[in-house]
Amino acid sequence: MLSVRDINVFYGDFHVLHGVSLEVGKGELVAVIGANGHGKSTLLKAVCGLVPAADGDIVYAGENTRGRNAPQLVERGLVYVAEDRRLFPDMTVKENLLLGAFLKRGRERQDKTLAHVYELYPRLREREKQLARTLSGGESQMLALGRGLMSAPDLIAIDEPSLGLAPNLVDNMLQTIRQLKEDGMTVLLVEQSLALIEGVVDRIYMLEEGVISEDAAQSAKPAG
Amino acid sequence: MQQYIEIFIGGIAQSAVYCIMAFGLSLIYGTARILNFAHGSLYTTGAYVAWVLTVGGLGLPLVLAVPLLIVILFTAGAALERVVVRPLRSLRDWKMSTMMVTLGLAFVLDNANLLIFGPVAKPMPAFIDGTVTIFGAIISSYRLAVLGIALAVLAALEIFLQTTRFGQAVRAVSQDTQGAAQVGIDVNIIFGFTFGLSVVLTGLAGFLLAPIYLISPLGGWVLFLKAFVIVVFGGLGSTRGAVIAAFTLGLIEAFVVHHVGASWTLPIWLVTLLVVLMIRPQGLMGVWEK
Ligand SMILES: Nc1ncnc2c1ncn2[C@@H]1O[C@H](COP(=O)(O)OP(=O)(O)OP(=O)(O)O)[C@@H](O)[C@H]1O
Ligand SMILES: [Mg+2]
Repeated sequence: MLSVRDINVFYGDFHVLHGVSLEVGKGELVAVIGANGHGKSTLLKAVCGLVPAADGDIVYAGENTRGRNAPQLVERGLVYVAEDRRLFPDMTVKENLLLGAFLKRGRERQDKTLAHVYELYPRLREREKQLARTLSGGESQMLALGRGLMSAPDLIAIDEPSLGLAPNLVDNMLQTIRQLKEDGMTVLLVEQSLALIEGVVDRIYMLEEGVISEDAAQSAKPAG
Repeated sequence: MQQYIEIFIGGIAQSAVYCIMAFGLSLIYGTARILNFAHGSLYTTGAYVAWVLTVGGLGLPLVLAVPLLIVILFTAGAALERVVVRPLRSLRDWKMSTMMVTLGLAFVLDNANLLIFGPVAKPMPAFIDGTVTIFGAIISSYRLAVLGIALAVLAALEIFLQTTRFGQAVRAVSQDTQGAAQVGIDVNIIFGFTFGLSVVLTGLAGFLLAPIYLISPLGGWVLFLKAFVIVVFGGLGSTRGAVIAAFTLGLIEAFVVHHVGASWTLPIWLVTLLVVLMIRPQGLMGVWEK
């Protein structure tokens, strides 16, 4: 479904990703782990067209998408959920969700997806009319993921969903992500620690100082 | 009493026009976080273009001249974004570079206007003559028309931003540019559009005030300064804050002009601004920059 081959990404002169490759099969839940500042977010952003990759190939759904911008990729079902939430602070919860369905792809299924998101997170329905800036950390994370789902993704790239959440909320979040996979969505997940996602994901890549390697030992274990 | 009604109505008419101009400045700051230093020169240029389209050359009737003026101004603004701003956006310090470029553009426009139209201010006849009497106060019909037009423009902007899909996209970009891109909003299109709209607003303000102030090559700078004070007072990036600030400052101006003289306007505006910023550093309704 997604095949990243040898991409390099720079911020100005700063070389962040060094020839990174990665494969995500249809329906898989694949994780990338690595310490702070090693380029995990940059990798997801490059895949989702939010930062440019200088070279290499990014093949998504059979098409080389390197050089495509985020709107074009969202319309093709590739959606990024940011670690720092990136909500629209002065809009209500519902307005945020509906903006997730900004493009035709999401808009066509808007009512159905909205019902699904509210079923997943009844809390968001309760807070429908509240401004996003007033949400708690946990609620913001729900809204960030809910807004991503409103775009009706085939592949959703979720960046450190555990960031700032209490341990019990992290478990819930991972269960939800697991459920998305069961429902047929492909998921590319970024997290910092192996302990958190062990047993939840199908395969794991490690990103260290912009260099990626597949964690063979982890990946050999059947997901459970 | 009558005198105060005159001052009050004159003041809100003036405020409404400042408001349109400040709205444009705030719109660009809100979406792209750029302070457009050419905003005042574009105000003047808009007035000159209107002059050429009407009394100064082509002699078109207003029903033709106004739509044409809007198209020309919008195209100029969108082109400014496409040709000047967008290429700079890949630079690391693009906001700073862009502001410097808009300052350069201001000087280019000013000098072009000076060369083309000369240093002598051009008069522009009011397109409505006569006066109206309200509660015994005599008000020029033109000022009332200006007030009506400016309020209609503001209402249209508010409806556009709050209720249309495109307006929502503009608000989304101004609240979180990356978030907007994530949901599939083409940020470049929104930037181009807001630059276009912003130039339409400032040019229209130039056109509306031309019969009151005449058109001169450097006349836009005072208006730019006023729009800037309004935008900072209202809170950078907040169009609603700009509306409140424009009316507050416009009314203050009307009373200052009447009681102490026009040259006191800016000093008193600046003192008001200082007081507001001391109490609320982000302005009335500003967006906090992280
Ligand atoms: N817009 C940017 N401009 C310049 N440098 C950047 C930019 N974004 C990220 N970087 C740098 O690139 C490196 C990788 O950042 P990235 O956000 O991808 O790391 P990360 O692995 O996601 O870290 P974290 O776990 O803290 O989220 C960091 O050194 C960061 O400072
Ligand atoms: Mg990160």
